[in-house]
Amino acid sequence: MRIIVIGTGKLGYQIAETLSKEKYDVVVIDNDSDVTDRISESLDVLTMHANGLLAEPLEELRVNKEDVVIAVTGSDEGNILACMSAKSLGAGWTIARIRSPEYTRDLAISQEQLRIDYVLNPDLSTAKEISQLLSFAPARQVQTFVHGKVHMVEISVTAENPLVGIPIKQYNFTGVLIAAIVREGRIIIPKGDDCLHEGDNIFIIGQATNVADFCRYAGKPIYKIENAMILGGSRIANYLARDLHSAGVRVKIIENDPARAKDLSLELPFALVVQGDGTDMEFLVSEDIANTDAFVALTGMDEENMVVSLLAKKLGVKKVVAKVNRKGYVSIAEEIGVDSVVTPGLITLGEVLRLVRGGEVVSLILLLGGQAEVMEFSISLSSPLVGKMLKDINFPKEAIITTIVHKGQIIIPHGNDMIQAHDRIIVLTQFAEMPRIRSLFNGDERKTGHGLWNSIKSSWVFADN
Amino acid sequence: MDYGIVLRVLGFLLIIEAGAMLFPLGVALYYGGPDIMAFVITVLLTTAAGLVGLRFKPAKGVVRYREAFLIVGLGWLLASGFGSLPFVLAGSLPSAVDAFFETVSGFTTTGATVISNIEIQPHGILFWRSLTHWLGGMGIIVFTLAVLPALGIGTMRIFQAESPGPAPTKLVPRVDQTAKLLYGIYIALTIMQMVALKISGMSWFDSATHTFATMGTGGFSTRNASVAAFANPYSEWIIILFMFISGVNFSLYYGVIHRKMGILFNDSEFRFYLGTVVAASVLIAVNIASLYQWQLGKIIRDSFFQVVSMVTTTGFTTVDYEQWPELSKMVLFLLMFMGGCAGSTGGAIKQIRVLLIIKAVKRKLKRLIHPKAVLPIVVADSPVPEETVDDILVFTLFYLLIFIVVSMLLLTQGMDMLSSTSAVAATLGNVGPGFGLVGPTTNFADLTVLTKIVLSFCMLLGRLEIYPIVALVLPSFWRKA
Repeated sequence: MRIIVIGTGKLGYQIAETLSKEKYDVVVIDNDSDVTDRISESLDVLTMHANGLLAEPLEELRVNKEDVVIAVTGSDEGNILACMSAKSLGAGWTIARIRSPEYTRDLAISQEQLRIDYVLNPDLSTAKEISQLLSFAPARQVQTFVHGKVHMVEISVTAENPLVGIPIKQYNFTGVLIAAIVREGRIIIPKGDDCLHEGDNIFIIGQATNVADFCRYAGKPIYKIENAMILGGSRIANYLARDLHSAGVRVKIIENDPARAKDLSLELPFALVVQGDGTDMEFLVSEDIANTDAFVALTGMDEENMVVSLLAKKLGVKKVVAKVNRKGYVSIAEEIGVDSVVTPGLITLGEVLRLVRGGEVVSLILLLGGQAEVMEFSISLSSPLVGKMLKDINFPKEAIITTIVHKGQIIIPHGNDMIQAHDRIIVLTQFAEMPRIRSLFNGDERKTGHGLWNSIKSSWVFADN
Repeated sequence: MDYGIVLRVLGFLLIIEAGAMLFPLGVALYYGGPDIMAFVITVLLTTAAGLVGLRFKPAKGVVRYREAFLIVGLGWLLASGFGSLPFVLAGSLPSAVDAFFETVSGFTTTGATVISNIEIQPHGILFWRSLTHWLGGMGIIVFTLAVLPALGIGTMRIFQAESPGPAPTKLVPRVDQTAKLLYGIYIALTIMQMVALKISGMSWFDSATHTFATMGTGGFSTRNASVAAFANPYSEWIIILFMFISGVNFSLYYGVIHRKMGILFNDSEFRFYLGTVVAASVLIAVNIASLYQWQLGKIIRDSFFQVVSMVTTTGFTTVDYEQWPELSKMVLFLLMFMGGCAGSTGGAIKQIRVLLIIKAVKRKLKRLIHPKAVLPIVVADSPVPEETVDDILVFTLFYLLIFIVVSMLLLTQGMDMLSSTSAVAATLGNVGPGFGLVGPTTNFADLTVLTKIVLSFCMLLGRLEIYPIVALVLPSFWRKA
C-alpha cells in the first residue's frame, strides 16, 4: 500500500512526514521542484516533480487498488479533479481537502459521483473542536470518544487544586482517570507515585458528569459561555458561528475587511458582525470585551492571534482561544497564558492518520504538536486481546489504556479488568510507542486495506448521526 | 556531529564486511590453501571492531550532510583497512601500503594491482580480491542501508553521498527498499553472467571471480594476462556484454522489468553511452585493421572489448593495446575520463555529465549569435536546472584539476609524462591499467610508496565523486554549528 500525497503545502508535508516516519510508503507529487527537492532531502519518501492534477504522474506510478491518494493542493477544484482521475485510474481510496463551505454543502449530493471517499475540511474540523472546547469552559482542550460518551479534558493545575503534592495512588476518585501530565512541554504517563505540581496540565478522562465533578474539586468549576467574540471572519469563523449559535451562544464577529464583513453579515444573520481593527484595544473595549465570556482569535496571523488573545485575557475575558498554525508556536502560546490553542493542521493530520491506519482505530487525536496520540479502538472478535486481563498484556510503559467501554458502560480500568469483543478502548500513547500499540491491537498490521474502508464508512455513519 | 549514528553505521558496515569475508574463507577451506588462518583472524578482528561500533547509540537519529559524508568517507577507509588484512596476514603483500592499495583498488572497482605474479596466489585471496569489486561496485554502504534496520531521518543523504552521478534518485518510496531493489537487480545479473561464463567453458572459480570484476566494473583477473589468458572468444563476448550492462544506470533496469524495453532507448544518457561505445569501437577497428591483417572477427572483438572495458572503467584486457597505433591509444585514454552512466557501477566523470557539457557548449555557441535567446538545456524532455548544470561544470573542472595536480606530483617520483598522466587517469577514473609503466602488461608494483598512497586516495576520490573525501579535510566540516 502506498500513500500518494498530491500537493505539499503545510498539511501535505505533515502527512508525508508523519506517515513516512511510521514506515509507510509515501509518494509526494508537487509541481514546484524546489519543494520536491527539499522534501526528498528531509523525508524518506519518493518525490515526483509533476502536476498532480494530471493523470500522467499517477499513470507513471501505476496506481492500483492498494493505494490511497490524498489530494491536498491549494485548490478545492484541483483536489476534486485529482481524486476523480485517481479513482478512474484504479486508486483504492481517495481523500480530498475541500475548504469552501459551498462545495462542502454540495458534496452531500455529489460526493459519490465525484469519487471522493473522504473529505477533509480543516476549517470545519477546527470549528467543531473549538465549539467543543467552549462547551466545557475551564478545559484547555476537550475531546470526546465513543459517540460523545467519554470526555477527555485538559486542565491546568493551579494553587487552588487540593491534589497538588499528593501521590496519585492516594487519590480517592471513581469514574475519572488522570491519563497524562504535561510538564515543561513534555507528556508524562503518570504512575502511582507521581504527584501533581502547580503549573502542570493534566488530561482527565471519564464520563462527562464525573469529569465535571473532578474539575470542580480541582478548582476549575464548569461555567456556561453565554457570549463569544470571534476575531477574524475566516471560514472557521463562519462554521464556528453556526455551531455556537445552535448551542445558544451569542456570537459577535470582528472583521476588518468591509466587503468580507458584509458577506458574513448576510451569511450569518443571527450573528453580530462588526467591522473594525481587532488589534485596536480601544475598539475592543468599546465592543464591551470586558463582559465577553469567550474570545476566539482566528486571523491568518499566528502572532496576532496569540497577542490579541492575551490582550483580551487582560481586558477581562474568561476564556481565550487562539488559532496557531505553526506547530512550534503551540507550546509558547500555552506558556504565555493563552487558555487554549487550536492547530488546524494537527486536527486534520489526526483525521488522515486515523483513516490510513484504519483497522480498528475509530478516532485519533494528536496531543502537544503530535508528541502523543489518543486513539479509540474497537475490538473485533478476532483481536488477539479478546479475553485477556490488562495485567497480562505486555503493554508499553509510555502508553496507557485509559478507558474501556463495555456494552455502553464506561470502565476506568484496573489490572483485573478484561477486554472483550466489541469493546471500545481508548489508549493514550507517546508517538514513539505507536508501532507497538498498533501491532498489539491490529495483530498483523499493514492490512490497512479493508480497515480503511471500514473507517471511512464509520465516519459516514457519524456524519449521519 | 552525531558520532553515535556514524559509529553505529560503521559498526554495521564492518559486520557486513566480516560476513562477506566468510565467502573467501569458504573458498580457502575448499582448496585447503595457506590463507585460511589469514581470513579467520581478519573475520574475528573485523567482527570485534564492528561490535564495538554497534554499542554506540545515535544521539538524535538525524543524518545531516556532515554525518553522511563522514559515514561514507570513513566507511570506505575502514572497509579498505580491514579488507587489506588478509593480504598482509597471508603473506601475499607483506607491505601494508601495498595491501591497502590493492584493497582500495578492489573496493573502488579500479582493478590496478600491485601483485606481480597473480597466478601463484592462494584461491581465497584471489576470490576476496574479486569480491571487493562486487561489493564496491553497487556500494558497500548502499548494501548496509539495504540490511540496516531503520536508521532515522536523512538516510537518503548517505545514499546520495555514495551513489555515483549528479542526482541519484530513489526507485521506490523508501531508501532501504530502493537499496534492496538495486541489489536484487545486481545479484540477478551476476548470476546470469556467472552461468554464461561457465557454459562458455571457464571453471566455476574463474567464472565467479571474473563476474564479480565485470559487474563491479573492477578489472581484477586471476591470470597475469587478464582475460586474454583464456583465449576464448565466447567468454570475451559475454564479458563485453556484461561490462556494457554494468555501465548502464541500474534504475533503468527497474523500469525495463516493470514496463518495456523502450525505456532504455528513450533515455538520452543511454543513447549517448551506446553511441560513444559504437563510435569509438568503429574508429579503433578501422585504425587497427591493417595491423591485424584484416582478420575481421578479431578486429571487432578486440576493439569492442577494449573500448567497453575502458569506457565502463573495468580495465580488463585481451590484447596489449600499447602496440596499437597512437590514435587508438588516444581514444582509449580519453574514454578513461568518460566512464559509464550515472547510477551504474562504472567510474570516472560519467556519460550524463559529458552529455550536459556538450549541450552547454552548444548553447554557448548559439548565444554568440542570439545573445538574448532563451535556451534551456533539455534532457529527456525536461529542462535541467541551471544549478545542476553549474554543479556538473564545477565537478568536472575539479576532477580535471585533481588530475593535473596529481600528475605533476607523480612526475617528481620518477615517472614519465605518459605513465604519470595515464596512472592518474586510470586510478581517478577507477579504470585500472594505463599506459607506459602502468600499461596492460605491467602493474603498479614498482611505484614509490608515496605514489601508491597518493593513487590510493585518487581511487577513493574517483569512486566517491570527490566531495565526501574532500569534505573530511575541510576545517569548517569539523567546526561546531
